[in-house]
Amino acid sequence: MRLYKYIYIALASLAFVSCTEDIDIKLDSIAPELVVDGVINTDTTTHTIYLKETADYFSNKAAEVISGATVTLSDGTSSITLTENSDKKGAYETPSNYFGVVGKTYTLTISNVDINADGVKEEFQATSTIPTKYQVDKISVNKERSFGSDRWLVNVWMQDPPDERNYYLIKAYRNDSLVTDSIQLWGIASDEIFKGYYLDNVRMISLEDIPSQRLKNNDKVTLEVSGISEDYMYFINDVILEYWGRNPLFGGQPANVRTNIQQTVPEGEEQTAHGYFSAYSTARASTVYTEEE
Amino acid sequence: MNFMILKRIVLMILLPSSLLGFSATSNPAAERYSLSGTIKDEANGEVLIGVSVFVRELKIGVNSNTYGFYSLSIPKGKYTVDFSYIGYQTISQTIDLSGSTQLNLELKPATNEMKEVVITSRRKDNNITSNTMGVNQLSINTIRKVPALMGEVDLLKAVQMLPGVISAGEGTSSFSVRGGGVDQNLIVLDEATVYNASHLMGFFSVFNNDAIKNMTLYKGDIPATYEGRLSSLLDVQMKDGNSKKFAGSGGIGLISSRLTLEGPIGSDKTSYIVSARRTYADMFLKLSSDKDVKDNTLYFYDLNAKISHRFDDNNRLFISGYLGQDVFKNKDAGFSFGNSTFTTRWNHLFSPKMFSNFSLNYSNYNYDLESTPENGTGIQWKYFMKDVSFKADFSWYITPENTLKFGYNSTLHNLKPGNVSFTNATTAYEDYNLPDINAFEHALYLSDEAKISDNLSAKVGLRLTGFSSIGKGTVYNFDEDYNVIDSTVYRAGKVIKTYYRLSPRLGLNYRINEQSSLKASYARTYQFLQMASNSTAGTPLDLWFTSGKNVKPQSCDQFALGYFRNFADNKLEGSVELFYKKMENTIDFKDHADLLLNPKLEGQLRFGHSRAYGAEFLLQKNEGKLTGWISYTYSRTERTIYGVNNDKNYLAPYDRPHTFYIVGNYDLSERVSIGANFIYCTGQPITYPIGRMEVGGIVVPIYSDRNEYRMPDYHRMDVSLTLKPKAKPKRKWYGEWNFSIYNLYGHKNPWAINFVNDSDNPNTTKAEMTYLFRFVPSATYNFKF
Repeated sequence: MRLYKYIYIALASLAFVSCTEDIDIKLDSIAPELVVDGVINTDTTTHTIYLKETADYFSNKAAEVISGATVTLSDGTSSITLTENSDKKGAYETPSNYFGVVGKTYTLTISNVDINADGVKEEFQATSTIPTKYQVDKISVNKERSFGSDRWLVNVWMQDPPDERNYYLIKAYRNDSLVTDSIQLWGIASDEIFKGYYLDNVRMISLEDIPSQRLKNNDKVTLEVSGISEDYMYFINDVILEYWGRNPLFGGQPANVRTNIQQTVPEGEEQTAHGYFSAYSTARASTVYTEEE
Repeated sequence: MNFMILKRIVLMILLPSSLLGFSATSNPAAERYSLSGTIKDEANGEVLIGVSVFVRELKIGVNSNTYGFYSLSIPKGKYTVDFSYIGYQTISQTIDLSGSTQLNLELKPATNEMKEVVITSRRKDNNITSNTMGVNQLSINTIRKVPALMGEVDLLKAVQMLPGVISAGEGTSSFSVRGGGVDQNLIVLDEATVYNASHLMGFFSVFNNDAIKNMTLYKGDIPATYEGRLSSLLDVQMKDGNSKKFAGSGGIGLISSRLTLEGPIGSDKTSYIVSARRTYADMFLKLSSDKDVKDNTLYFYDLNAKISHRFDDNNRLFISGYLGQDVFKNKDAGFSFGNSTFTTRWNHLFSPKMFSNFSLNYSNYNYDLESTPENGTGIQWKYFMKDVSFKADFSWYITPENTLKFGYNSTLHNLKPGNVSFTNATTAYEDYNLPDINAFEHALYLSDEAKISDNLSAKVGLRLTGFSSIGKGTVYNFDEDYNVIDSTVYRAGKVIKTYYRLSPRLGLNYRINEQSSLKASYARTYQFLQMASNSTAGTPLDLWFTSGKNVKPQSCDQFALGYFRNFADNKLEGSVELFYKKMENTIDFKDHADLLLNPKLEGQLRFGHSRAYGAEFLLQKNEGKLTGWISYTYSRTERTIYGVNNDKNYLAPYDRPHTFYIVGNYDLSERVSIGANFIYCTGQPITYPIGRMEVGGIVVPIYSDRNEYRMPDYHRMDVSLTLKPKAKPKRKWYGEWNFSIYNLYGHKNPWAINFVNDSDNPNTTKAEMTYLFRFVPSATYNFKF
């Protein structure tokens, strides 16, 4: 798993004794730019694309949403227009019976917007192809104590598809509500060391001893394992790196998170869109957690 | 400069053989004899490096070499020869030269009682007359006067306060020279390369100064005998061991202790020295009541050993080695790193004029990370790299005005960038091994130093290096977008790619008058081995990689101009040096590069060019109650890398325009001396956010162009106090106390500035600064017997 790389970063830093305090820094700013945060997967449900604007770094409030845009989704054959949710502006939804199909390439088009307020309408586009859907045979949940605190390890039994490079996005649910709700808690992995293997009781994700994650006896735990593209995996990785900050020992230079959103109209404009549109396949398995004596 | 002199320079560059029989001062037809020998310290028999040997009547001189050897070829006659060296009493010897003469000498250290006698420097005006610029030589005596931190003076801490040098950061011994990267300094200990000279926390380097004799930093004018790093050469020599009597020295401190034993074996022909040092920070952890803290192990050790043997006047053998390791462990995880070196050297005098040295060297650097949880899979990651090399160096002292050096060296590099193994695994994971990287390099060099006229001397050098990336190994082939197409596996010994590179060197020294001179130099250097490190500070988790199919050798053309002036009868040395470096095939990394355990590392690299320029001002006082130096350096460095920062120019991490150092030691009395350092350095370039966006439920920064801003400036002051015992003649045991405080006024020097989500308030972000050491005291008892 790629996860273990982060273990090393953490433990090597332990050797250092340091102090951290808040400081006041004046930062420059930029004019608002487009941020797309949208996902289509193989579940039959409402899928949502969020359109927001960038803001000053210390603006310290929720991002401004982009309302009234025309958002269309094409699967290569047919195209639908997403409906903006009247209660939640900036959230553009598919019908509730929409589902993504493995192997199809989806194109998201955003038009009827003028983000830079120069009077000229802009158009943006992004594409994503749905990879193979995994088959999760079963999962198990066990408590462990390490680095001084409790954790719950969620292990999986499944086959990694042979003959192809696979990328994983892992999330967990406790009693049907998403535990790993923000991106820095998602797990990502690629099958470099286990290509084609049958994963036999392999740890996929761990839940920490904090109110939003800890487990009680008889809690239902669901593991969600999605097949994602390599670029989307690197996008999530970029965001996680930016979230954790950096120390001079291991962090690289700060850099902008990658994107697959391209501005198509007007042509030749500097590319300023941010965010990601991803289409992926999702599989799940559940179990009931029983506390050992 | 008249036409004759110009013609001589041109001839010298084109036809080195025309140098034979070059004589500026005396009648070429007179018969010449050799005056040669070895110069040692009378107290312990150590050879002295850089002793000035000056023939008054002829107004010519040479310096003793790394092995204390000097050779002059002068006409028959009566002469007065002065042997002088900083910290020692000058000896003036009259000789009547009528045949090849061997004159070995032992110099007495100058003591305080001898203050009235002229205490000379390694030739008081050495910085005016020597034909090297961009060099700082510090003998161990000078290094000892720098305020000690943690009880002992650290070599690299002293280097980090020389003009043109900047520390790479708090907590590391790495440094940057004239805007270069931390991997652009070649550090050698008795000729073997040391890849990571830092110990944990950066207070200590791997050099235990009880075992060190001399250190020279070449910042610009790197001698043709070495190649392989663009920015500097740090040449460290170990002591040979007291050949006269058994002696020891050491220290006991709060954090570390050390002991050195040296002496003759049998007769004074053989001597040995053994030095050991260990820290014990973990001893204090054991006192903790917290079980988790108690089980932690945190220490490092160093071991230096050397044996020297003199077979006869023409043959000496040295065998030396170093071994060190840093260890951190607790019950869940551990990591350790360390170097080891082993060298065998043979000095051989073919004639009094032809000195040679043959050496066989081995060095390795390794680290190990492991996670050992109670339940669950344990992981171990090992990194290992080694060099095996052979060197043959010759110095031909043709005439005192003309010395020719030439030689050959070859090195085999082997790197094992990552071996990951699993323990306690339920799925039988295979070991994950990155393919080995192997390379072979060899070189021939020729360099000549000649005095062209009374006022002008010149140095010319040429080095030819062949560097081959060889199998066994795996090379990935990339397309223009750095995507992997396929890979090729090479069997052992098969040549993958060879580069031949020619490195010329040129230096001129024009002596204006007794107190001042003007120097100019040009050097072209290449680097074939570099570090894949995305951090700006040196870290123990360094990854080295070589030039090869996908990576061209980095190059640097450095021009330097300097004015050197001594004041107050050579008591004060002053200099101004201007430098300009133009570098090609500079390497940087793509955004969010994945360097850890990545066999396709070369796909994360991006290439371009860079340049650095600046001016160094130095005023140095080596004698008297007050000694030390003041330096100011103005230094800029920037780069353009294709694929990074939208191909726009940006400041390199070591662009620190203003650096100011004051280093001083004052002898209050015979028994008390105080020392202080003050360091001021412009803040490091940094990339700040200029906007933010929300994705996946969190706030992510949007950044400006790379390195558009600066961190706050760095400054600190350290002080130390040394209490010496009463001066007693025939004292067997000498002990002194040293107290020091690092960062006396506790300035919070930012080590990292991060922009993070505030965990208490959603939607809120803040800036955080991490800083390391403030008010770090230390007490050590140092002894000698």
